Amino acid sequence: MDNYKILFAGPVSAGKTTAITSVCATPPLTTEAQATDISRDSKTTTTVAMDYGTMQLLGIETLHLYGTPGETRFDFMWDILSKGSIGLVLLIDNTHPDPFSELHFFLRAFKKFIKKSRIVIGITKTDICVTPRINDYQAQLRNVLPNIPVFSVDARNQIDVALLIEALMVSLDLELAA
Amino acid sequence: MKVQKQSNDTPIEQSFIATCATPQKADYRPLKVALLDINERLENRLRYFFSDRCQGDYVVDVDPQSADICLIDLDGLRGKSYWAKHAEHQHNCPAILLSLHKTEVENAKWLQKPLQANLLHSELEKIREKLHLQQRQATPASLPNSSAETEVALSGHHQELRRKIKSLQAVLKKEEIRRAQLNVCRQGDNPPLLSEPADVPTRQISVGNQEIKTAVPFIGSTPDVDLDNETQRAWVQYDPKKFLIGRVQKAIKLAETSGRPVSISSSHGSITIVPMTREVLVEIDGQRLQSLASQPVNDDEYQLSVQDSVCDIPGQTHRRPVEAFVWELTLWTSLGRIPVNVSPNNTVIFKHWPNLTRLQIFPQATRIAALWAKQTHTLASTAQALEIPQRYVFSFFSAAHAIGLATTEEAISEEIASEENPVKSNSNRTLFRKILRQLSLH
Ligand SMILES: Nc1nc2c(ncn2[C@@H]2O[C@H](COP(=O)(O)OP(=O)(O)O)[C@@H](O)[C@H]2O)c(=O)[nH]1
Ligand SMILES: [Mg+2]
Repeated sequence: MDNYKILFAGPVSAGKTTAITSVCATPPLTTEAQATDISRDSKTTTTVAMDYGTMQLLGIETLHLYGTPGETRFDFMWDILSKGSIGLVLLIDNTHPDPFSELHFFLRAFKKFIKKSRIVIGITKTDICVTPRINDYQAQLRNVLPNIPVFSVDARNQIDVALLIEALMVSLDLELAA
Repeated sequence: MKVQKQSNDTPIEQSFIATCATPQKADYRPLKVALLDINERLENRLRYFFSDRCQGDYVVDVDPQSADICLIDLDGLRGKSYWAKHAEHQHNCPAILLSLHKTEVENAKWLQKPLQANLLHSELEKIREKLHLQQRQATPASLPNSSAETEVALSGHHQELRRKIKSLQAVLKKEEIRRAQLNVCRQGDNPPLLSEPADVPTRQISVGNQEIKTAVPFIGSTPDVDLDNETQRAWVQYDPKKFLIGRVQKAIKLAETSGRPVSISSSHGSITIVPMTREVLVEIDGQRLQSLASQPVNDDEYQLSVQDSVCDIPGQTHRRPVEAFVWELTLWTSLGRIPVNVSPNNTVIFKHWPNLTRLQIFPQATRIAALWAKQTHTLASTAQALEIPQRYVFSFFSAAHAIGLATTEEAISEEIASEENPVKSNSNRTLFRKILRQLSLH
């Protein structure tokens, strides 16, 4: 069902494919190809169309998780995949030389979507690079998009990713209940 | 005013539960898991995993002798000797061994780190099955276990389940999806992640509003009060200065001003605040710390001293980020109460969401944060709006207040007033100040 579609976005190597894999019980469908944009971390493949996986919630309903391709040459996919999504999980790689500019870039790219939906932000690879800290991200967001959940997330860790999704779901729930 | 919680099973919930309920399991009880040489971070995660994903089916047991299952980290300093001891003396108690690199073990299950929740869950479930089988063979006509403990644990699952269903329902209502589509209980091969209703015995449905047993160490069990009534208000207030948390906050302040490590020493062990790394070195084990946290301190019980360097003895000290430590210690102290130095009837000012993946989480925490992020509320109106006992709100508020993320309206002006008192300036103040300024240090 479209209504349970959740979108994962963020730059190449932020951990989108990994995060979806962590919470999906079966291996998600991914469309990997050779990366051209940036291949830091010796990461040679990148998602070109999308990742797709399902996460069973409560045994009664299924969340459909879609990972967008990180490279900007595929940004036309972002709009396509946004359609019908109820929320956005934005992952930012803390080891990037300028993660704040990545953050603002993606917030701008998804501006329209964020306006009518809910967003949560996961900062990945904080085990490799501790700064900037979560408070610094919150300070960046204060004037742009206050009051949204920003968590340290290891995309390989199921509980981290699940908690991020839970924060999205409860925010959405309150939004809709209002 | 008292918040009355009521049970309101809607048709969807009823039909859902009816579809998914399995035949009654007479021998159900939470299994006790001993964590041996598991580091604190993993321990916190496991506790959360046991209470959330496993719905309280497993609880942490500090005593390996009484545990049903032992979980041993072979990469830990003493992991291998624990395992040797276990294999020799406790071969009847099933063990799960963890390590980064593949290890051949006999008579135990090995799982690779980083730990996959799915694999761990399925191993635990296999052990549960086996234990049940043994138990049934040993006592073929065993009576249903109806101890109060079991009831609470089970109804905890149930309440959590109902909460999640409710929240999902709200989403569905707005999205105008037909109810009929909901009633199909999909029981695919994939284990659901957030909550699993599969094992809720039907007999538990009538046990209404009790809470998750595993949350009690953080939430306490204080009933709701009328915050306008002075006598009742006093029941839910505590003075942080009279507890260990007060000493810790004093030490943090001292570490901030001196720019040097500060130790709190006592006969129980020491706690050292290291400003450079924003860490706390704790020499007291978790269980002990938890009980110390809730007891009022004597004047000479803890001594503060500024250190020249830190002494980190591997195996004896846990390193923890200051924020996570203060958050958890506050939960253990607050037990569902609020600090005396805030005005309980004023609006809550919420700075931003806490970094919940790195803090001890408990039921309702995400909902309270989401509500405060969206609307202004008082403490009492938060509990009402979310239809939850006040103690959840009070605990969350206390913890968020301790790390500088929440306060009430009046308290802010008090803080400003106290800031006007000139503080001795010190050139050693570092970046650490930034985070410390946010910690509540009064
Ligand atoms: N150390 C570490 N590695 C991570 C973390 N999150 C993701 N990774 C790794 O980062 C790499 C890139 O992840 P991937 O999911 O392919 O990124 P995507 O391009 O956003 O889909 C993978 O090797 C992940 O295992 C993290 O928090 N810490
Ligand atoms: Mg990818």
